[in-house]
Amino acid sequence: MPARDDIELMQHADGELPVGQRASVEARLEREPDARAKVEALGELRDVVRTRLELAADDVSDHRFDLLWRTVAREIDSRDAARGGASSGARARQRGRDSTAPFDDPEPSAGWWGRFTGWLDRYRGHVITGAVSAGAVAAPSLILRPGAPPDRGVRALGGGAIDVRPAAMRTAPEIESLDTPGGEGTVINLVDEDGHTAVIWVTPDDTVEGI
Amino acid sequence: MSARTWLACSAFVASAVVMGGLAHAQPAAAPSVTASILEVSATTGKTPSIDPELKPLEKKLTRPPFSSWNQFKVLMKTQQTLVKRKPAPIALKVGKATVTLVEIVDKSKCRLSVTIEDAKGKQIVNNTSTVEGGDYLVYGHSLPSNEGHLLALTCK
Repeated sequence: MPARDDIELMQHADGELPVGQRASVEARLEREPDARAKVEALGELRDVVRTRLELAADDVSDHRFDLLWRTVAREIDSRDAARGGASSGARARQRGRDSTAPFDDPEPSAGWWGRFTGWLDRYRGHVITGAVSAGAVAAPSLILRPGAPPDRGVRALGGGAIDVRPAAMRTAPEIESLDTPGGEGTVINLVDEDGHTAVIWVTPDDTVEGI
Repeated sequence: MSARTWLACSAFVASAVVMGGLAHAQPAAAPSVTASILEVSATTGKTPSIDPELKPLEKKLTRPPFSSWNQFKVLMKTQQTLVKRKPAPIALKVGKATVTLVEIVDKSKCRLSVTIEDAKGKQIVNNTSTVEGGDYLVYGHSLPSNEGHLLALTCK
């Protein structure tokens, strides 16, 4: 059977067949048992898929539906309030007509957590705005916090942690403290085109001939 | 001030406090430098010789107080990462040394604290110096055998 015929059968099963073709397909179904079997199989398949979707919808908890409805109700309330409450009376009348409508005030939420999440739902935008603003303020303090950058220089020649300046620009070493127990210390600064070298020479006290 | 404005301000203050606390709680990495350390034996011989590894100091070794000797041989060479305020012990062929990075000064200088002990464990020198990156500190003393014992170090 050509594929096009099968497509016609599928369209017929889905009710999508153009009116002009329906008569011919139905006549074909009457005379061809194979075609009838196919259409019946397609119908069963459709039922299976529909059942699966319905079951999936049942899996969504009532609590979530409840939340959805509450969100819708809040949105409508806020719009009404913006309109100056002109339609609130109408909505109240509507509630009176249908006491089971989802717009009825929800039952008190279970516990403080429910109230807290509800509160967050209502003011989420404000909380996020505050947090983002605080982040923007805190970021510079993260970057510019004291004590971090000066000692962490990484611009050194040769991959070291400090800048190795050209020899001509270097200053002489500074000897801040020198303790030579049992001897005498001498400091000599040797300078040439390679830079400075501070020599700290220790001559023991018992040395007769020093350097 | 409306309730919503008050709420936004409260969230701002609370978040700022938390983030500020986190910023200060985060420990900054301790500064460190790389120190090259050379232990050198100085002797007198017929033929002058300077270890090739002493090339950066070659010219200086011909001047006093090193000119008393004409042969310089590297006994030990090591590179140490010096972390700020963390003493780095260095085992020498003759004695031992401890080098501490006190701080990095002006991004180009190391402030180092160096102590050296002789083979008997007696402290020879205890010194704090500030030296430019690439420049050398050389500590020396004479040994009883009339040899010289040098410790050269540089940081970068």
